[in-house]
Amino acid sequence: MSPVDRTGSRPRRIVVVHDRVDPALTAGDYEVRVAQAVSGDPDLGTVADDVRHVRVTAPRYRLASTDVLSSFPPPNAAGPFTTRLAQVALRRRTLPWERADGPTRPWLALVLLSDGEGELLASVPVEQAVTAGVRPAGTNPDGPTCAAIEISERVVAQVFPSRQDLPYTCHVRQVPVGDTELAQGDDDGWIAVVIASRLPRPGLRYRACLVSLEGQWHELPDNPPTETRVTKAVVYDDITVEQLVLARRPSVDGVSLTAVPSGKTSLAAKRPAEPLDRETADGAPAQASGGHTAPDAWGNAGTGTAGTPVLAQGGPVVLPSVVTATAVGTGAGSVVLDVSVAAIEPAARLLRFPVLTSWEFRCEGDKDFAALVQGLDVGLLGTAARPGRGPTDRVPEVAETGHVVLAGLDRGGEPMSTWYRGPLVPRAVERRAPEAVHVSDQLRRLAEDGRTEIGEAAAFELGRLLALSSPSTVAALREWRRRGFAVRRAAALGEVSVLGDLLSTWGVLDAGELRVERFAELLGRQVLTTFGAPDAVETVLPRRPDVDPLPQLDLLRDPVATIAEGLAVPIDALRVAAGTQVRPQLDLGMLTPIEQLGFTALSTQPELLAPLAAGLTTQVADLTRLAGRGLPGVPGGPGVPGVPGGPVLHPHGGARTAGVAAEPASPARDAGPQDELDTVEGLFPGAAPLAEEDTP
Amino acid sequence: MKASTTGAEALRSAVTAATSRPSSGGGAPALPPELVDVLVRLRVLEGVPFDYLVPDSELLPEESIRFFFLDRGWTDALTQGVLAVGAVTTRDRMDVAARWPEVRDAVDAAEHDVRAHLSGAAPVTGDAEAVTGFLVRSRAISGWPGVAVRAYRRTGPEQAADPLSGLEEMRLLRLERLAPAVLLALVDGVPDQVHLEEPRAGIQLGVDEEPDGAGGGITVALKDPATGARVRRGGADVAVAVPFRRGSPGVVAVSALVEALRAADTGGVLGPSLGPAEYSLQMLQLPYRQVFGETDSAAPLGDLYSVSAALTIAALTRAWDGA
Repeated sequence: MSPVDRTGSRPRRIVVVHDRVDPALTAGDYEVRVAQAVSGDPDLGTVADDVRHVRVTAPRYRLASTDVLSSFPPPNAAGPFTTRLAQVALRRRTLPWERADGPTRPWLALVLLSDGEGELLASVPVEQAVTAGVRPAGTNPDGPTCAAIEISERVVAQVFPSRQDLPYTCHVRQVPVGDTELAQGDDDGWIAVVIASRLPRPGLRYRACLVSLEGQWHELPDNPPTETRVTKAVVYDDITVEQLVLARRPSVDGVSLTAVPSGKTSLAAKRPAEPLDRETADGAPAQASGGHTAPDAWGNAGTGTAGTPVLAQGGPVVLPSVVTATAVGTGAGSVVLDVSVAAIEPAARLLRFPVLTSWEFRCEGDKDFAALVQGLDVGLLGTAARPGRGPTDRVPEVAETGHVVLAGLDRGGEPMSTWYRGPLVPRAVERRAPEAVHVSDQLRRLAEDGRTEIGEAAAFELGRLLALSSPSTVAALREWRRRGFAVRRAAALGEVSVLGDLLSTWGVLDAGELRVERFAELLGRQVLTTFGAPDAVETVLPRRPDVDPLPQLDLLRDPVATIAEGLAVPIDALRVAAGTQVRPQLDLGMLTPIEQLGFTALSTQPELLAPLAAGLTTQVADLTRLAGRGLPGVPGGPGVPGVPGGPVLHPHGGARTAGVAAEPASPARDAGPQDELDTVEGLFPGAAPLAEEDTP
Repeated sequence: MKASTTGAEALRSAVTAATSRPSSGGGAPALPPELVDVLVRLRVLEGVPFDYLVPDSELLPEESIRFFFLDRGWTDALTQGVLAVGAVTTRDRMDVAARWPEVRDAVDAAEHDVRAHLSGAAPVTGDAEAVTGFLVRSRAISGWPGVAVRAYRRTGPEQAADPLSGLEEMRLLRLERLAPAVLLALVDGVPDQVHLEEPRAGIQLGVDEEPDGAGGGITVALKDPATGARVRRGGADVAVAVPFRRGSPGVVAVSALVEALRAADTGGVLGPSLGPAEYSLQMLQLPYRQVFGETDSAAPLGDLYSVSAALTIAALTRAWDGA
């Protein structure tokens, strides 16, 4: 075949599939006879025939590990293989036909066996690896023993490929060697493939066995009738778990099943809880399994098998009658192939086939990838699920913006509900201008319904906690901040320092390099010329201003905006309110007493703060009135603490509000932020103290 | 003299420090790489508990895919929370405030290449675009580890021959299984198409199963042996019901299936015979690729994925060559 031609830089990878590759000689003993006919002069006589014997060998009872290139499903894998045919890829391209007795008859078949469908004999003499009476001709290149399965005629008739199907189960692929994914490490790119014809069913364990049909082709079913749908999952859908357990060989790994069961040997303990409960209800508990006590086995079953698909939902193929039997096949553990077939199917004719290689896998789930992704419910995150789609019928309270209402506790410990929106939102969100945030409360927003929106505040706290959880991050942050301060301070100093000013005035810097000799000369001259003049030093050496490399706070430039932002109230309304009444304006002049006198003086003369206090009080009273307007249960006056449904005026941006009074004082004279906080708190009758952030 | 030499050196170094100061911005050192790394990882939500991403399990039901935009405000707040660590005094806070725009820009610039070390792609610079993505919660994620996710932006018209024409693959900022069945993908930009592709693990043979097929529902799609493409008739795949051996536990009646395939081949793609090789081609299961998004228009994501808009879900079968 050729691939779909895609114009582009991708290389074409061509896989050629052949019906078969016949070996030049099939396995066996050959005689090469060389005869020479001499013609012409009869006196020359004749030449005797030369006879040589050639033996062509091929694997017969076992395969070298290098002969098997890959297998699918992967060994010991668990997955939804319900729509996949098991296959094994063999490195030797002619292998399936090397012992064939006809051009269309491979001697290998890949069969899937589930629990109880046969007995796997790990090592038997090769003479006993085939059905009694079968005597394959030829020699055995593979050693004295091999693996084999013993199965009943019924299993062969139901599971093995029919004579008509057999040719279709083998083919040869020729793949590009360079494509590791397809060639799977093969050296020449020729791969013989043997396909199974049994589709795995969900919830069952299987052992895929590559069996030799040599000498036993006649045992294969001949043109069996068909049906349009699968009616059962296992061959023995009429036996019970107890029969299966009883049919097991008396010991596994040297441990008798009649002893106290361990997790390894107890079949029942591996079974999921649900079928077991049904089993118990049926009145057929595990007495039959000899020594098992029901509570132990059942108790173990509840754990460790979570996630096992419920068989009753497995689809149309699992009939109720097979549920108990298939229950054995679920859960972890190996396929149960240590049973005595005679015990399961008495008086059945037993057949044996050599097993060249085998592996196990488990089939889980009942849908393939395509069905699952096609069935996905498509939507936008932050939109409410359609009722019935979710785990419960509960429909969360979701806003169009993607906000969700979460229940929580407020800072007083009372139940409250808040709006939360995570980072994943259903519509594009405008990114705000960069603005620094220092505490999560600055990011709390009041929604129109009075509930707080804590999405970004929670993000802030989460970032803080995540950073704190990593000591290296904290150290890096500290180092970064420290270096930032140092550099910034040096820069600011350089700008205003005496030295820098002098040097630039005198012009002794040449492209940043100091001319020391010139500096000394100039310095001396300067000292001489200015000596004696009382104000000379002041002129030459300008007074050094306070070094504050940080930008000045401008909170008081627009106090209305500051308060509006801090309290999350509409600024326009606040401006209207602020503009309609005459009040003492809050301005920097009110702060001059603090600047000039300091807190020590103010503490003895509190009347100096009167203008400031009056201004703040008026502002806050207006503000509180404004905030209370329109909210249920609150009169136009100041907020009353404890009024149900009343506004809880959290000090949003409380740090900033505190800064109104605290900032103009330099840190050296700062009386401490706590004093200022107390002042602000006193002005806010309804304010709650700063507390830990509520996060979901 | 030793002493005077020392003084000159000291003066020189002091002056050098004072004069070599960059003229702009106060000269604070850039964010160190390890912090940029930490912040970028946070920006793609690494380490963010799942409850913060999806606050209510109802928002991401089982067997669902949910598309989203990334809220930059939220991730900015997350970043600022990190920067707030150790900022105790007013001065610390003013320092953070002064440097926050610079930090934000540095993290924005680094964000594009958060997965570059995985893909080996060339570094990309530029402003941070909108980041989108999706969450999938499905057994398709738990059952098929290694699902390939690709996001495409439409740059040209689609040609009928190649469904991938006119599409430019976009960078993934993150692709991670948060839980066995939950996959998170973040895309650098707003994609027009998102593809979920079955993991490619060799060649698999098998059948198709109707998602909710009542009774049987197991079919094989007729395929053109020359191309591997499914034969379409009347806008749908030609699906041949798989016959089973009567009374068997799910054993395909192969020769009967072969006959059924030949009977369904009214177009004559199969040729005169159907041997083992052709049979294996008919059973071939190419990695399935699910396309989310419009396949023929450049509609923006907002329109495309809104709940009310109809979604065109097309299944692309893929040929042997990989993308």
